[in-house]
Amino acid sequence: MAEVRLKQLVKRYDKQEIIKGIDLHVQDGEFVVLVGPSGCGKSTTLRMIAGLEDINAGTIEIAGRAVNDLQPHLRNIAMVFQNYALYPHKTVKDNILFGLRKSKVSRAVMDDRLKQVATMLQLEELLNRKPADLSGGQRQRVAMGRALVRDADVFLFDEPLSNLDAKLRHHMRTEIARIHQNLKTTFIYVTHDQVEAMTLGDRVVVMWDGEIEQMGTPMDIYLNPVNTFVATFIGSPSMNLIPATYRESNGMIVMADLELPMELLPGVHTANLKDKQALYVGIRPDFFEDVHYASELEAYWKLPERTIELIEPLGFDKEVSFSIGDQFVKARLDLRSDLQAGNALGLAVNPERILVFDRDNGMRVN
Amino acid sequence: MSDRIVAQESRLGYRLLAPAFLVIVLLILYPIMFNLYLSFFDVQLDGNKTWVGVSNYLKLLSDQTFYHSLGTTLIYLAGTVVGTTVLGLAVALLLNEEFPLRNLVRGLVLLPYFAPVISVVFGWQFIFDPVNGIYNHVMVEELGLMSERQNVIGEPDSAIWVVIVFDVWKHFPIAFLLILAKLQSIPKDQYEAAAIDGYSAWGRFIHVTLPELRFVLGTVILLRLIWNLNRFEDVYLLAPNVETLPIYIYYRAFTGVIDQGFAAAVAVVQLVFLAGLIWLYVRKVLKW
Repeated sequence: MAEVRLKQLVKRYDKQEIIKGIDLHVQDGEFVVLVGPSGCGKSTTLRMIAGLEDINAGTIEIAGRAVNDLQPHLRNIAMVFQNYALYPHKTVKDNILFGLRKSKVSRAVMDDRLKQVATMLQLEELLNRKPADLSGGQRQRVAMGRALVRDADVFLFDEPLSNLDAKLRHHMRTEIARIHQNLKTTFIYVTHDQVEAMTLGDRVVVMWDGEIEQMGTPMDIYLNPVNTFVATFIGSPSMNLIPATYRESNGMIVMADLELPMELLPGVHTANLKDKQALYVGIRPDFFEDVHYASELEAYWKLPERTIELIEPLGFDKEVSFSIGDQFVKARLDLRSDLQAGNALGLAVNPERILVFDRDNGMRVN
Repeated sequence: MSDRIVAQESRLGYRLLAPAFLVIVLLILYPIMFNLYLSFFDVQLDGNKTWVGVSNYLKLLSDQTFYHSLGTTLIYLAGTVVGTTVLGLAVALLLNEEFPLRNLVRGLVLLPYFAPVISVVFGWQFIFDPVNGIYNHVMVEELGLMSERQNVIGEPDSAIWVVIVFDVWKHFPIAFLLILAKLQSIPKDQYEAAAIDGYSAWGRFIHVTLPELRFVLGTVILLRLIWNLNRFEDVYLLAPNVETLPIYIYYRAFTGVIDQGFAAAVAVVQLVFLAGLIWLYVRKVLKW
């Protein structure tokens, strides 16, 4: 167990900066998820921590020692690869014990750990098979076992679930969360899947274009994104961003035919806005409520009636689409709202959940 | 599939095989059978043959020159096969690393394999020439490692080493090519996983590279054994005094006191060794 510190970390390929000087402090025992779209540098960052990529500037410290110039095999880390990287000529058992054999632990300890990991990951029946005889999900579990059997300072995961089908991915996600709860070691986990990021991380680090856009607890990132990138990347379906303009004369934010009184928004100060400033109003689909079922409507912002254009049923939920001006907007309503396309729709939103962004630079306005 | 379709398919299969089968029968099977037949006769130059039973084989078993030739062949096989495999592996590992002009170097390494035997043989003979060769010049005059010039190729005992080195030099590129092709297909993340599991470059070579190369190394070794057991022209052209089995057979069949029945018997012995190697290749290597 150990903490990991990245200080002003830079990675360049042919003069182009892929990682642009990031700082990150992962606490001992913390589960940190790096999330972002492909090409954002999250995997490169992880591989730099592992020692599989050179560092062009900055430092990486694991357990208080700088590891910049240490080869991967000297860093005492364990890693689960996206494509599992199992040794095809070794049995499951030998794959799992390969790292321990090097660290010269006693036979008894080895057997003990193997048994522990095999039970935890339900690998008991597979120990004598070769990777070629395993299904994708089984291989994934072996790859996890190979990492978890080690007494490593830090465990690294490079999109470990991305090759599994949806059901298995969900199952393994829960498994990983459970394993971390039991082991309480330092986990750094890379994914492009925002659901994995939200559900697994003690802390989520959202990356884009080689920089950290925001880090915080999953709920913090979900409720208080610092810019439109984070706002739309985290959460599914994406946050609605409705183009708007601030009108100082009557203190209204104007969206096409809708007006949102500034006095409703406790989190936004008029001092931070200019007359005629171009804005986005951000509302998550989940925060729209059907006026028929909302309880405390007093303080809510009630939208004038809209016409439903499309309904996508999801079982318990349904996604209801309508327009504000030219902007297509989605609301997620539950079973109770029995609606059809073409119906009139009465919606309300808790104003605390309405976010305002500057349309020019995408930054949140408070 | 119905039985009729299966029967039709297999008839088509036989028809497609027939031409190749015919050629093999005419050019390979017939000579082999005829050779086996000859090995039981005392063959005269005018074509007359007398049946002698197994006496050619008995003569062979008591012939010192045959055992000497067998020994030469074993040294030649061991030296060339180990040499080409090790050198091919080393060069393949080296040229699998990234460096400028890598593709050019990879191309140049193949040259010995593509060069015509006869032209490079003359070059090698010149290198070891006792009077004008650079080998003697360097060893005697420059480095002083030898006190006097030697006719390296002229002496069978030293000539075999020249023949082995020549064969390694000429044929390692095929080992290099096969091994390099396999090296390039080993997934990079296996090396990364082994590095993270705590293994240094040497450990990764032992635990990732070698097991992955097992099949191709087996192929290289067995194919080289099969080819070199039959190799005639390289040895004969460079140093005709190195009597490996094919050359021994040639001398007995076509030079000096000609004894084609005896030569045929030696050829049968060689065939038995060859069949053993081919059996190994089909049973083991092709199964991996």
